[in-house]
Amino acid sequence: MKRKDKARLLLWGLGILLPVMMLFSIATGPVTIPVSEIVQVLLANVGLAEPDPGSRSALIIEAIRLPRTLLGVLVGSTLAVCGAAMQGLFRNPLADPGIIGVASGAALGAGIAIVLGGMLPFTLPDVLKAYSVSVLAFVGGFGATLLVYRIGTTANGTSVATMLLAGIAIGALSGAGMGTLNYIADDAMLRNMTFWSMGSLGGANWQNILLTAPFMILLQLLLIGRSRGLNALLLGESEARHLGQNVNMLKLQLILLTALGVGLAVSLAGMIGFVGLVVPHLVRMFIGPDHRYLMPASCLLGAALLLGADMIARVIVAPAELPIGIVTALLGAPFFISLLLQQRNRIG
Amino acid sequence: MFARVFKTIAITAGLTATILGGTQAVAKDITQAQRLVTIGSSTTELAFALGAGDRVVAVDVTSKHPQQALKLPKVGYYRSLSAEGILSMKPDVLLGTDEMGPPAIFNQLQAGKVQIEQLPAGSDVDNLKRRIELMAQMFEQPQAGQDLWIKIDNQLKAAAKMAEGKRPRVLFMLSHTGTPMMGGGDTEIDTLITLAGGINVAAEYFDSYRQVSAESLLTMQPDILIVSASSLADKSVEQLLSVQPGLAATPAGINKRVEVVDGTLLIGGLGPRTGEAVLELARKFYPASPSLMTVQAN
Repeated sequence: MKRKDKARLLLWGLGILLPVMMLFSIATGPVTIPVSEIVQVLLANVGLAEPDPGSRSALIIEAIRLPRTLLGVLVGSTLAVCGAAMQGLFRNPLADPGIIGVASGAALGAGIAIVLGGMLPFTLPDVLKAYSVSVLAFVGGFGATLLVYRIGTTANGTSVATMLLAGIAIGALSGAGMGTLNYIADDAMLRNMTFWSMGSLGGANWQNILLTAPFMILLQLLLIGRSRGLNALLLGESEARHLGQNVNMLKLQLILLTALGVGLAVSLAGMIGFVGLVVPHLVRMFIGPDHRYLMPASCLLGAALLLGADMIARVIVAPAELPIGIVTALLGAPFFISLLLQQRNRIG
Repeated sequence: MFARVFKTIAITAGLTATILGGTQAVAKDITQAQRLVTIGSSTTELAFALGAGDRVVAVDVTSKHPQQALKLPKVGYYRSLSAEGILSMKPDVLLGTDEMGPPAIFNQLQAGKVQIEQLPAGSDVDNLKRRIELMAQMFEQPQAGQDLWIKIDNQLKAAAKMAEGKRPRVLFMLSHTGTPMMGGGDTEIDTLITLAGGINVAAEYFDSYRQVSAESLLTMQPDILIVSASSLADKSVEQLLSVQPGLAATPAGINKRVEVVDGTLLIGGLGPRTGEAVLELARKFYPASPSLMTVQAN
């Protein structure tokens, strides 16, 4: 009973924290905008105040900060909930969305788009050029996951252990592909690949958000809907089967949803490590492994953390910008280690 | 969506017109622009060389020349600029080459009433001439542009005069630990070597920068090795040759002919210092040239 109360409290707390972080994210940036103007622009956007078209502040908030904040929420929550799903499925605390090959496949896809796209004998129209990296990253990530799933699946069902090994093998194969691309790339392409692999929310625009938000929200809801199944899986596969879960169907659903979710997140923002691995752990340290609370809490915390990291990325070297992957790892990892040190006796 | 497609068509049409119009094309006038952000080392150097330096308010991290540019705020690396970071400098114009990006920021900047000027990127001398012309037109300083080009052109001609007899085989080495990277064709260093009267041996094998094994170095048989100032750093030529056994056995290694160029000349297109750099290389390639005296007399 006590744990349940704690979980509810955490969900409420995170539910308040996230909008606060969003407001901070909208208020933070290299251009100083007074709070009164921010409030005015936001109110104007929801029709509660007279809009002031042409004002520089309105433009920065509407064209840059608002889409960027929303992208941070979408990407952060998706990565975190997918991480929680993978840790539940593999019953392995080291699992993150990369474990089923989606990250390495996406990296290979993006690399192919950057390098081979730049070597075409003709120039692609700008529209295609802008989207080729995103689309191929998504295709690469999703394709790699399907391959991992196929390798792990026999007539007797899907073996999680085989999938784990297949994920490692596919990762190595993608790594070799990336190495080859690195070798044939010129320095401009190399730089582009490096920056892509460190992630950024800088590419946010309304088009991307409107196109992907419905899918990402739906995927998260579907994953949260698998919470009871994940709880049953914690007991072991045969136990889950005895509890009435269609375990093979559940595995397939979790893998497909994660591949779609992470594929979309990576194609929008590049590779952002750490969030998917650590956010579920953080939540579990506070409220335990019940997925009914773990999954939604991971969504909220993942979004809030990524927004925090992005604020630092934007401001710390202004007017330049730090790739967000550096911030998440640089700040997140020591924080995580300190939590581990504090709680290692309890985790046992 | 349609606006974007339309814009693409418009840009393509504009580009075609520019190409067809050749040098007739008039760059947009940015004389009134009081605040410029220049992206890319050669763009920044050219802006200063053409007398617009006092209007430059921020540059990218590769802009390390002239001295004044070093003190300006840096808006990041030229391929990963941040829209809001640039906006915080309140610029009227963002001036760079078509290598700057990511493309996502251009719409955001245009919405912020920042005019974006992209010059054609390239590593050959024609491209340098073209960029000088375009920028001189933008600043309405045609005379300064002409003077700058004539100065560079004279230096290049003087360098060409020094070449006599057998052209030296030259190799440019970029990194100094592990397997070295060599500068192939279609690079700034390739242009400099060729203009100074040398043969870039790596260009016979590949374009841009590639790793080359110690054995392949032997087959390339360079007479002169060029390294960037930063790769030599505090090492002596002997130390440099000793860590690359393949090099020591080449004619360049045997005769200890290792020359140094300033690495900032070699990235982001050729800049206003190209003429001096070529002249200096030519002096090293042809130390016994009689024309040397007349050049120095100038």
